[in-house]
Amino acid sequence: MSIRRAFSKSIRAYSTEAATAGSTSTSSSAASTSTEAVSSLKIRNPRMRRAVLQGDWIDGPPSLRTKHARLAYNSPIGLKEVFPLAYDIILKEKARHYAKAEEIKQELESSDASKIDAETRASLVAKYNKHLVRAELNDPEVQYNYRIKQLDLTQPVYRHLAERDWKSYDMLITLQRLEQLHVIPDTLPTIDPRADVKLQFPTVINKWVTPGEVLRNAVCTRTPIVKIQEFQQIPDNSLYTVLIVDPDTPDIANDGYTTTLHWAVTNIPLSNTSPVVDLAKSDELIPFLPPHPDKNGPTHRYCLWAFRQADPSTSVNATSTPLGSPTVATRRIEIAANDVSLARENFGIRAFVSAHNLDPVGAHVWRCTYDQSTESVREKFGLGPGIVFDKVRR
Amino acid sequence: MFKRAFHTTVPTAGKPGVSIVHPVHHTVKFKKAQVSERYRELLTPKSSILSAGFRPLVVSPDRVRDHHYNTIQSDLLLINYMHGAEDKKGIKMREWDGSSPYHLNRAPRPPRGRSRATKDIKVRDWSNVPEIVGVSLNCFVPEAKEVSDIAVAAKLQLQQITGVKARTVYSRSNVPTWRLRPGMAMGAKVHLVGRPMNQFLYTLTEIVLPRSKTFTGVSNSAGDTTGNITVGISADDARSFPEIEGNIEQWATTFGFDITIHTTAQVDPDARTLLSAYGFLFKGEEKFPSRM
Amino acid sequence: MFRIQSSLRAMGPTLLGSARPSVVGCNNANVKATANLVLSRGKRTKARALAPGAQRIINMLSVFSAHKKQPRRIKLAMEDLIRHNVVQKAWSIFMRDKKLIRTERLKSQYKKIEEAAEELKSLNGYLHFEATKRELGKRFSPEMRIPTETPPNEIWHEDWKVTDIYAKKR
Repeated sequence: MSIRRAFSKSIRAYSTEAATAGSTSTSSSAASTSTEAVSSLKIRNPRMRRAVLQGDWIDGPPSLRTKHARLAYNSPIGLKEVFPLAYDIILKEKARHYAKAEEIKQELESSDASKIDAETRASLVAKYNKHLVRAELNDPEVQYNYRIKQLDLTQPVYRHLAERDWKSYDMLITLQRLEQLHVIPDTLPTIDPRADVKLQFPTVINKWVTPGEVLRNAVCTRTPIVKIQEFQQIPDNSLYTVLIVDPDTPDIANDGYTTTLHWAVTNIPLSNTSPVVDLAKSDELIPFLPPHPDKNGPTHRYCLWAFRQADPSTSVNATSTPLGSPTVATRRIEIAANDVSLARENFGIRAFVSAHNLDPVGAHVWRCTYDQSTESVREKFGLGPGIVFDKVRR
Repeated sequence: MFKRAFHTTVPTAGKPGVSIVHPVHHTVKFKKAQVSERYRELLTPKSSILSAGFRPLVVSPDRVRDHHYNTIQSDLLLINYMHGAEDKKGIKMREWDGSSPYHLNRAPRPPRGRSRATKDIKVRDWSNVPEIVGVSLNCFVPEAKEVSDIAVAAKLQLQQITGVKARTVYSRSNVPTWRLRPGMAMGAKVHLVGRPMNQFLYTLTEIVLPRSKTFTGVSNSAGDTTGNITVGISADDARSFPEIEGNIEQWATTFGFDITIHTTAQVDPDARTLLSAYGFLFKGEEKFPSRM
Repeated sequence: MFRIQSSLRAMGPTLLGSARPSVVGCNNANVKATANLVLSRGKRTKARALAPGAQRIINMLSVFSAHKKQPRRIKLAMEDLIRHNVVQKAWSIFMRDKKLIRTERLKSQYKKIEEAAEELKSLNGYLHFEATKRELGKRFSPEMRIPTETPPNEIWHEDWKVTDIYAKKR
């Protein structure tokens, strides 16, 4: 109790001190004007909003489900008294960050902006985005929306939070599996992960495939649902390419393995808010071929790669969008479906990627082996009887 | 495009680490606990109230810290001011010139006529005003060699005085004539920072040292040349800590210990000036290093 | 506790009173068959009481023990967790600002000292030399005290003299 009292006392002294000193930070009203328009930065539910901002509830915190739990709950002593003072400091800090961001914006949009070289501009844009994130990061309403997973990814702060979550677990799992299963370097030399690539099959609804998982053949028969979530701001209808390859196809003649192309889609329009691959709007060059491993053969890896169709010409003169992202992926790729480089068998993924100047941003992998359902899959899709391997080569 | 780090063993003694573990390809480094669902909870930072190790930021006012910031700091800035001062470079280890291929990986030689390198002395300005950053108490009890339980009592005494959990110290050397073996509990030590440190300091300077019958001041020759001063407390003086004195009948034996005060001063004389502001008195002739 | 007792027992009879073998309660038929067994755990009888020296060490060790000393984690509702984090963050911003102010004040003080010394140098070289001479072995006055929240009734001993108490002892 005494701590809270001391804290509130010193904070009160601090806020009056700041007020009398006439500090340069703009008043909290400036912050509210800049965020008033964005409803996604506010808590939608008015009851919740009152609970978070005022600690004001009838029988207990509304987030607790049962009435029993609500009645049994006690808030920490003194929190209600000290919160308004703390919130005031947070609002002042928010205003300070918005003022800094505004300064940078003015600098970038001023008449002298053409003199700024590309490197300085990039660092200024990064600073601008950093201030936008920091302004909102500690706001209780943003924190609440983040906890209930209502992330409006048009906002820098939510993109930052989503990226932080992804980098703390999903990205690491993906990287670990890509390396353990030697997807890197068996398909492409390496990866600089920048997008969260997720995959699920329509037969198993609402369950994203964990990278490296061994799936039954019957599960993977239909075209997968792919989600490519970018965390930096990208323009709407940025174009992406997705390839699924199997580097474990037995090549008996050469006593080794070849790569088979299972799926190829280009010109996929994506944005921060619509990250799911929509085949109706994109060019499906090679339709999805279901995995059908041979009996007694090795477990196959099915490696999914997602590429930005980066456009070097537009990203250099990004002066038209001074605060946009430095990478613009708007280059269309035109490949005829009967192109030689797009043959399913003996597909050279490295040659394909360098020929079309693709930028790998994310990857995924799952595995399949010969199982009970393989024969029915082969029958259903007319894939032939397949090879049966034996200990002794015949 | 980006740096690729390889999975390696830790490089030691100036030698490069060796890549031995698959996969050797990391573009992103991570700890094992991060990818294990079971251990992720342990990664919660202690600053979060969700962590089991959470401790509140502030629990009480600290008059020693306030005194430092309100009074001592600006005085010290003025006392230590030297007009037109420049950084003074320390004497460094001598690198091999590379004239022989055997010079590769060879440890550098110590400076001529010295056993170790000395630190640079930076200009004393507003950014490096000396302050006390930590206090370590070290209680070594030779008798613990015969009766190992004495080390327990010494540990308890330090814990009682400071309010911080002390650690047992164990012997490391093997001296058969003294019947000393590695791993024998020989005493205790504790390192204090923050509020426990300040509390200990004012107990020492306001209660213990003024009442001591034998203590005549901190020796002006104490110090490790880099701003850390050591004071010894006798077993008798240890009895006048209020925490011991409160139930003195329970303390049949007390133990003397060494107090090392770690400061950010660059040389010992600066550290002594700082300590004098905390109420430490000094005795004996003070010698000043040639480079300060 | 049982482990400590048994390890102390291993030390020898000096530390313990009458060290009698005790058997921890179990359902073993062989144990049941033998007579004169103490089938209790942690129960202290007078015959098995420890020697005072050993008991003292056990008391000391129990002070170090972390058992139940960790306070229980506070269970906060989501609203209060968010509100708590806001307070925590505000406090660190508050402390950061205080530190900034402090640093700025020191910085301006340093700049002023520097300016004054420069000005004095341009006016009078001798005064400048004397003023900026380094005082070696500078000490704060021993009468200086760390201010307390409860100051004594008599704030300052006006007629206090430095007596040569140390010289007497030597």
